[in-house]
Amino acid sequence: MSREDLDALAGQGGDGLGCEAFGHLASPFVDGELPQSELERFDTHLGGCPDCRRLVAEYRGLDALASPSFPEPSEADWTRAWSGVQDALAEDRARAGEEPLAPVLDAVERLGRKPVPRNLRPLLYLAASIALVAILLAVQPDPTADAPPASVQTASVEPSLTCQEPDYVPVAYTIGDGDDAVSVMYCAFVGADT
Amino acid sequence: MNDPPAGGVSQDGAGARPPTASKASEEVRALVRRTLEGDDDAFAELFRRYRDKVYRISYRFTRDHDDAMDLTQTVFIKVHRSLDSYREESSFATWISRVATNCGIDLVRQRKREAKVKLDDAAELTDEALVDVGQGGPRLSPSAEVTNAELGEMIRAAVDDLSDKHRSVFVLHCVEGTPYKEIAEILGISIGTVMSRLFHARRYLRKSLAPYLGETRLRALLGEGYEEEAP
Repeated sequence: MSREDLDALAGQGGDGLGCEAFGHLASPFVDGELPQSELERFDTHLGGCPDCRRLVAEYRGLDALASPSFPEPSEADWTRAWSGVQDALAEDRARAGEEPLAPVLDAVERLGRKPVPRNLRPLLYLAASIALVAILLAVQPDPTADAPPASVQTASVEPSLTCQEPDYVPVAYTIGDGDDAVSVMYCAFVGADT
Repeated sequence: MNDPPAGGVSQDGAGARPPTASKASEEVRALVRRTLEGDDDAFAELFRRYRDKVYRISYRFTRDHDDAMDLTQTVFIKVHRSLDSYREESSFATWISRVATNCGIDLVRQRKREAKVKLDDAAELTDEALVDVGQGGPRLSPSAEVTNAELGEMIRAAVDDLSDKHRSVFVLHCVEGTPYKEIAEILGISIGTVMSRLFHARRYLRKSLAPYLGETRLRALLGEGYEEEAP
């Protein structure tokens, strides 16, 4: 503990200590946190000041009252406590397995409980906007979805499909080989877009 | 998950022949890393090493064995869930003490809310009932004879009345006289702030309980120490 700390607590320059300043420093004195040089001054003061001796005694009395002896936990107590910890962690794991997004939801829930610092809000809005755009892009219909995959073997199947609508032609192809081969057949629009 | 090995051992690997501090802290960091990788035996070992420390802090907040055991359990669940936020540059003992202190503060806040609900319920009855319920625990007239147990309950209520920041410092101080430096590390404040908060906490408690701290009581509490201070 620095001399500056002590002086700041005592609220004076540190020269000569009256009862008021000592009253502030009685607390670290009781805790044995005063440096040796300060300790000697306080000891000197204590010798001639019954009020301060009383204060020190009261602080020590309060400490004694506030620090009763602990009941010692038994091994059975610890076993029960550990068992409770295990159960809670097992629930966490089960929940994480059932709800893969649980950590994300928990984080959002925690965010909801705490006000976001003002200086971080623009960043939060930016992150949310980027996430929204990314989600929108991800759910856009794929313009090539109706087109045959690159590896299709369009020549391997004779189209046996007749398309009734104008501007539609039958398309057939097979994906895969052997027993895993899947034949696909449908009417594809070949007209001009309006 | 395996049972934790039996037998209490103090924090940081202290056994019958404790390893050096650096070796112990390296062991603890390895246990933390293994726990993060999903090794439950490592977490069992962390529980075994730190359960006494967490219990002592919990007991200071609850002053009840069963409540302290429940709080200890809550602390370890929270420790496991937030272990990835532990940074190895600080001592694990300091970090877990901070988690325990925060859990203790939460519990006291919850109790205060519940007490307020009870008080509000009582207010709907009669004025007489309000006087009997009071706030923060039993209040005896200064002239009443109180036992140390009753005085202990009063000091618990008075500690609960402290603000969170003053209560945290006082409670940690009461845990085996945790040094100011360690309290400062646990709470992330300066030593001067620790000293100041402890002073204000003590001043408030003294003011609340001074009528009960008579000559006889102090003599009984401090024994020979009182004689030395007040010849």
